[in-house]
Amino acid sequence: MNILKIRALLGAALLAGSSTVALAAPPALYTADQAKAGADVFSQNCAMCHGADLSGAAGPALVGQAFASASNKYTIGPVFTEVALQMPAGQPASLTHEQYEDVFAYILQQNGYPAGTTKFDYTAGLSSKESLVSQKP
Amino acid sequence: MQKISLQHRLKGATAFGCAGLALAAFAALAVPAKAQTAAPEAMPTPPAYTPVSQSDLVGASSSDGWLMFNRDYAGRDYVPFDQINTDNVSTLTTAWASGKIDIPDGFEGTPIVSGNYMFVTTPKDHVIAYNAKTGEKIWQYDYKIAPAAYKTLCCDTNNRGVAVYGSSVIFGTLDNHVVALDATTGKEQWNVSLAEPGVGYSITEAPLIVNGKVIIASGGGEYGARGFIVGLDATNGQQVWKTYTIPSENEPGGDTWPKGMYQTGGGAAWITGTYDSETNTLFWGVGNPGPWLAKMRPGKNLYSDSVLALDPDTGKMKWYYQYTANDSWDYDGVNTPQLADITYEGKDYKAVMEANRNGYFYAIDRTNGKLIYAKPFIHDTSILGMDKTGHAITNDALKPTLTKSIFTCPSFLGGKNWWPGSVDPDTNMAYVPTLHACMTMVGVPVTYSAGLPFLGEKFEMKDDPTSPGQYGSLQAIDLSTGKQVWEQKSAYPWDAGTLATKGGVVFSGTVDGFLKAFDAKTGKVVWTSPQLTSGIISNPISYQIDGKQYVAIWTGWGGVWPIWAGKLAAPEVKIPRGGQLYVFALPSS
Repeated sequence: MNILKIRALLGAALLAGSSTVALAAPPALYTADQAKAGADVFSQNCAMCHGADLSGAAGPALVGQAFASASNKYTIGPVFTEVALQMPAGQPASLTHEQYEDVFAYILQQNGYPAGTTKFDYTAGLSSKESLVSQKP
Repeated sequence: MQKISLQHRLKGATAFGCAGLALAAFAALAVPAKAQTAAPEAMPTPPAYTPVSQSDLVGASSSDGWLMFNRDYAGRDYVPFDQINTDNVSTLTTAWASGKIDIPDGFEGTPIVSGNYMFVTTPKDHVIAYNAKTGEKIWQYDYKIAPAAYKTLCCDTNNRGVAVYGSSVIFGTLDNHVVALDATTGKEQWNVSLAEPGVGYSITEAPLIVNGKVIIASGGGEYGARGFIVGLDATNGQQVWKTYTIPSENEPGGDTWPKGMYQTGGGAAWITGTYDSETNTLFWGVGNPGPWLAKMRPGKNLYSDSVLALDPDTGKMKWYYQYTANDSWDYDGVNTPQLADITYEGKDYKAVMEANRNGYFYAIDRTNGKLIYAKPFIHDTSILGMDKTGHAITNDALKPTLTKSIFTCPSFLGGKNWWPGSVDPDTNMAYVPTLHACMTMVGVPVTYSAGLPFLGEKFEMKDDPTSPGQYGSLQAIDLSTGKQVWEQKSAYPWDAGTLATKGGVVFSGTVDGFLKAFDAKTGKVVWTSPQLTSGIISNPISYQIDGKQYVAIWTGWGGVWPIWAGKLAAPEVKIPRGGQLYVFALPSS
């Protein structure tokens, strides 16, 4: 990580600390490239059960309040663990770590989480205590 | 060998389009059922409707209609009609068909016929009333499912059917409501909620009406939802009793769980039960315990994987029989407990018969819950036999841990899944839709979080090494011996229920979209329908109106197999989605 990035992050953190609006917004947990790649992973491996728009069909919804409302008190860890170790149903853990990172980035993006400069990481994701609340209705 | 069967299947799949064209003319007979409008579309003058009484339900086995999920309280899926028989079944033709319904999920509903009315359900909890003779649509009711319900579905958006009582049509919903509609107009009479959506519970089964009570139960075993069965007042939906399938610490059986784990213990009672009116006893199956990984919950984990004998008026338990103790393999005990009076080794018994997910075909004395016999009906490595007390000996070496992966048979979908088979009093046989597959399974760490799956295992379906590439069969089992009489093998899983008839014909549907008729005594195929518009995963029914016998079935591929069978389900990807109801009869002379 270069110094410019660190400065940017520190700046963002300071801003976040000084502004209630920024506090309410979700953190950047993935990169735009990951989400872009994740869209393809999703359409090929997930959409047949969860719907092309993630709204749920044979499998549960993965977007909006029907997926992760504040009252669910979800954190990233258990949800990503479900995705990475149990999905796709019938062939669990059959994708690469990178594919799981990408598809989770896509799910975060679809739920209103912003892209940033730090990649979503497989190992860190499994135990992440970051809260997961969809920003979508 | 596998290559040949794959080609065969793909060939079958490409023929779907042609069948669709050929049958378009029949589809035009009925009004296309669109599942978008909110208000019931009632006709100005609906046909007359005779209210259904408790004595009608007790006598359902001799009714011209099909008054409940398994036709009669005994749960036999057998009709005493012989107009269609082995001599003439080959001339069956389409009497009418519904419009094609463009919901891409599995159609698992059993139509209910009362008088001239047929009441059907589709995925996502739509209810439609047809004129059972003409196919004319009388009304449609579109239930609005709370979006949160989609959070906790394990196995598609099924609704398996309605119950009828008085002038009401009663059904459960994916968001845990029970709703009563007016049979002639589709207007709501009452609507009650049994549980919040999105935390684990969901209802997919048809209710059973006994003594003026609506008996219905929840699904949700994959989400740690503690199972329950309720009795509701059929006139207003008010709860009369509620019995949890998993006892709390201070109740009998509570000591078969580690402290506190009953709260997330699963035990979903997700398939409609049966009833013995002679002894006023309800029989209801219970699903597997949560989390799936047995090592996390030492003990028998009562009353998971059991059949319960309950008083339908109070919900109080008379006895229970547990098929699989401390289950780690998802061997739900929910398959229909079918009542039959049998003779075994020279002795007469009043029995309940069940082809269990664990791969054994059971006869249990329904007066006391004691085992009469249990025999394997598939290649089984999980169950080693029965012990001296009449309970399954589980192969504990094949229970997974966090570090030990196992391979065992049958798979988590069982030797038979939910599709009701038949018990035929004429042949003294049970007809069993059978699955042939095994699985790998290993533990993964899990902590309970409401609304997330609570499994603690990952698992993958595999070929059965004794029958690779053959995932299904329809088999006949002699009730007096528990031994197989005949078997029709299939490359596809056998994912549909059966209908037995006095005409000596057994009907069942196939994944590649054919309704077939089998000679009940020999298993010989005596009729195959034209290829229908989608695969069949539902239960065929039969009824009579004005002296004419009809056979009805939903097409509509989906359900559990394409979601969970992984690579084994690859050939079925091309099967067209969407549902259509077909009704067959002999040609008019």
